[in-house]
Formats: sequence, C-alpha cells, structure tokens
Amino acid sequence: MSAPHRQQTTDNRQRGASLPPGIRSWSDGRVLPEVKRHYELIVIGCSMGGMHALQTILSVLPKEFCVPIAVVQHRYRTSNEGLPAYFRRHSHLNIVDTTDKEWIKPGTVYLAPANYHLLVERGELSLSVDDAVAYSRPSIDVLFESAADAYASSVVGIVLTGSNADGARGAARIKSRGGFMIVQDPATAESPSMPQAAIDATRVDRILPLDRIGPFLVELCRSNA
Amino acid sequence: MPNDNTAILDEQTKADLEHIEIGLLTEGIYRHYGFDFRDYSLPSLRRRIWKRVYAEGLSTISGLLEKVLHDPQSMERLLLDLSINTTAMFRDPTFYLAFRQKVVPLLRTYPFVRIWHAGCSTGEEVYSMAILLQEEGLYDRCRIYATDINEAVLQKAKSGIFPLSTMQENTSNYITAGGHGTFSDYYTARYDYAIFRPSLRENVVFAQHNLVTDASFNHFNVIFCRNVLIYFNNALQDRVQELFLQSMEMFGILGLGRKESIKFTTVADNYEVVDADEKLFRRTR
Repeated sequence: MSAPHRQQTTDNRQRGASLPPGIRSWSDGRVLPEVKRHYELIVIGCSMGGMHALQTILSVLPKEFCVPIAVVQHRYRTSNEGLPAYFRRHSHLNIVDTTDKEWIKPGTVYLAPANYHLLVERGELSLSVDDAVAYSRPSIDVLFESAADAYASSVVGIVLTGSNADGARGAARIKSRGGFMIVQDPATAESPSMPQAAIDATRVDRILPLDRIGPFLVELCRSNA
Repeated sequence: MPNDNTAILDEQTKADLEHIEIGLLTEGIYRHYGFDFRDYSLPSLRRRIWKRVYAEGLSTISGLLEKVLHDPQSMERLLLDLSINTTAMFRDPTFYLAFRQKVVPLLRTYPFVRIWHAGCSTGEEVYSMAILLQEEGLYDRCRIYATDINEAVLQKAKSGIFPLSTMQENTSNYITAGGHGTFSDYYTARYDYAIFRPSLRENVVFAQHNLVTDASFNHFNVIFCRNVLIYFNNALQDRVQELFLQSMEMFGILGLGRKESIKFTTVADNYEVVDADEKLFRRTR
C-alpha cells in the first residue's frame, strides 16, 4: 500500500511546482478536482429538526443515485424501528436500520440504530455501544471520523440542522483526510448551532441552503456513473 | 508553503503509520500478556486505543506500546478500556419480554437448564435474567455461567452492587420487560448504591473466560452474548460463533444484541429464528 502513495506524493509535488502563478493550490483553481473525484460514501449528521431536513434531501435523490449514504440522526434511546419506515415513504432509495458488519451496498441509505454508534470500515459498517460522544449515541463525530479514516478523500460529509456541536470534529477530520464537506446554511436550519459549529471547525467546501443540497449531491456524484 | 494536496498526502502517511502501530500494539500485547485484540473490529479499537493514548499523557500509539509492555498497571488500564462494554439491567426490554414469551415455555420442558452469559461485563444483565427466571419459577433448576475476559468487571458483577442513580431507568426497563413484581423488592438502597438480593446469584457462577483464546467448557441450553461480537471483525465473529455452536445443546437458544446478526457468519444454517427483531435463535442442526 505505501509504495503507490509515496509515488503519488512525488507526482503531486511536481504538479504543484508547475501551478500557474496566482493559484496557490489545485483546490483553489477553478478546475475543482474534488468535484470530479469518484465518491464512494456520503455521511450525513443531523439532530434537532433533522427529520424534515433529511426527508428534503433524500426525496430528491433519484433511484439511480448509487453512492451509499450513512446517516446519524440523534434519536431517543428507546425509539423503535419507526424511523426507517418513515424515510422509506419519502425516498426512492433502499433505507435500512443498520445491522453490525453489514456490507456497504450502492443505492442504500444506512441509518444508525437507536442507542448504538455507527462506524465505517472499508466496505462494511460496524456498531458499538461505547460511551456517548458529545452527549450522543449515535454520535456524528464517531461516524464521520471513522468514515474519514476508512475512505479518506472519497467521502462526502454533510452536517445539517441541530442544537449542539456534534459533527464539528468529524467535519474537521474529513477535511484533513481530503474529503468533501457540505454544511447546511445555518440561516435555513431549524436549529443553527450544529451547522455553525462545523463551519467554525474547518474550511468546509460548500455552505448550501437545505433545498440545494440534494440537487448538488446529484451533480457532485454524476461523474461516478 | 506546502499546498493542500501535500498536506492531505501527509495525512495519508499518518493513517498508514497508525495502521502499522495498531498492528504492533495488539501483537505486543498478545505476545507479552496473552490478550488477543488482533481481530477486533478496527474502527472501535482505534477509538479506544487513542482514548488511552491521551489518558496516559502520550501522543503516539507506539508510545503506548512501550508503556504497556514495561508497566503492567498501564496494561490493566488499557484492558479496561478495551474490554468494558456498557450495559444496563433489562437492556433492550423487549428482548426480555420475547424471552419470557417464547423461550421460557421451552425451558419449562427441561429438568435442568444451563445458561452461558458470555461477556457479562459488570453483570447487570445476569441479575436481570435471574430476576426473570425467579419470577417464572424456573430459577431453582437453572445454573447461569457468567463469564468475561476482565477480572475487574467480574468482581463488580459478583458484588451485585450498582449505582442507585441507574435504578429509575432499570425500573422502567423491568416493567417494559414484563416484570411481574415490584422492582425495588429486589434490592436494598444504601447511600448511593442498590445492593441486590444475594439469592439472585445463588445459582450463578462467575468466571473469567476469554472468547478469543479459550475453548468451550460445557454444553448449554441457552447462550447469551449481547453487544460483544460487534467489537470483533468478521473472521473472529465466525470463530466465536463456532465456539458457541460447539457449546450448544441441540435445540439450544442463542440470544444476541438487537443489531447483531448470524446471517453474515458461517453458522447461520445451524439455527432457526425464534424472534427476528430480538435476535433469538434456536439450534436445529
């Protein structure tokens, strides 16, 4: 594994050296290499107001949308299986309440089960009952950090409405591993503090009003086809 | 000034190094102490290791390796971090309700019932099962073998003393789980603790057992292993499920955590479903 990475480092440094004057880095250029990248996983975190926000996004994703999506929506410990059924009514995609070691399949939305953390490994999902992180289990940070560790630059992270700061650390990890970060415009969020915390924690790629996020994902992942 | 891509590649190098260091740490612990975390599920293992790195005032996993090899006390602390699973009395109450309704009638037909609670942690769910069996009039012919890798949590489990602050939640779980009596009858409150009736552990044997390295030690009519296998990777889950199968009487009952499954393991064909949502299975071959 390490040899190809080392090779890539050299390549990029050489390319970096020949950047046109005035452009500090490739991501500053309008080339937008990140937009053309092949994305393998989308992770979404939301809390207060999240049901509506998620529904808004999931309902515009078409049946052919094949990038898998893992979602942490803060919910009560004892809440039952009602959440997947709810989203199924509003989405063309396959919605599942995640089981431990489930394979990550295209066209599927994986919801974190109540009272478990949802973590990402390459190709599969796992669960834990470790202590709450940022007062939450499931925790958005846990999902995002593990996704960044497993998928590095091929992750898209999205922080939506919520009234705490869960997801901010995770957003920073996704950015540091080269992933793409979208945050809901706090002005359009039912509860603005969570998206604001993510914006404050790292340099996010896009701050979008809620109704633009779904269409943007469709565009962003079109090159995957 | 390095551009962003260089910074990201440095992050990739760091991630590769971390992978190597986790491998070295688990190998070192295995060779020196015999605890085998090599096939633990990586994302949770990584989080728990880093938590201990920072708690010890260190900055790298290699630093932690050096410390735990030369300082057995720091190994004890790491062992607690890596092996404790949070639990509660009647955790997932509907599981206990399903057990009462669907499994207890089967157990009534047996003269004697051996139950293995694998990975019992601090014992809350062992006491829950003892209460349930007492209420169903089955406890006298049951023996519960409650095992865990970690001696420290077993001591807690043996004491039967739990924080009083958790009793409100425990009581509500007990009621949802179909409890017949009054939950507070099962314990005595002393200061901030609830001391559970010693009669509940009369037929319980607490013993250290390592699911990863130890063999089968008896045959059982019921095996519980809830929210432990989620910490293992696929290969290790298969191995432990084989161990359960070897230890399971024909028509014995396997109870897993709510979001665990046997369908991804090699023993899937040996069981039929008793309750799909509550993850209760019955050995049929």
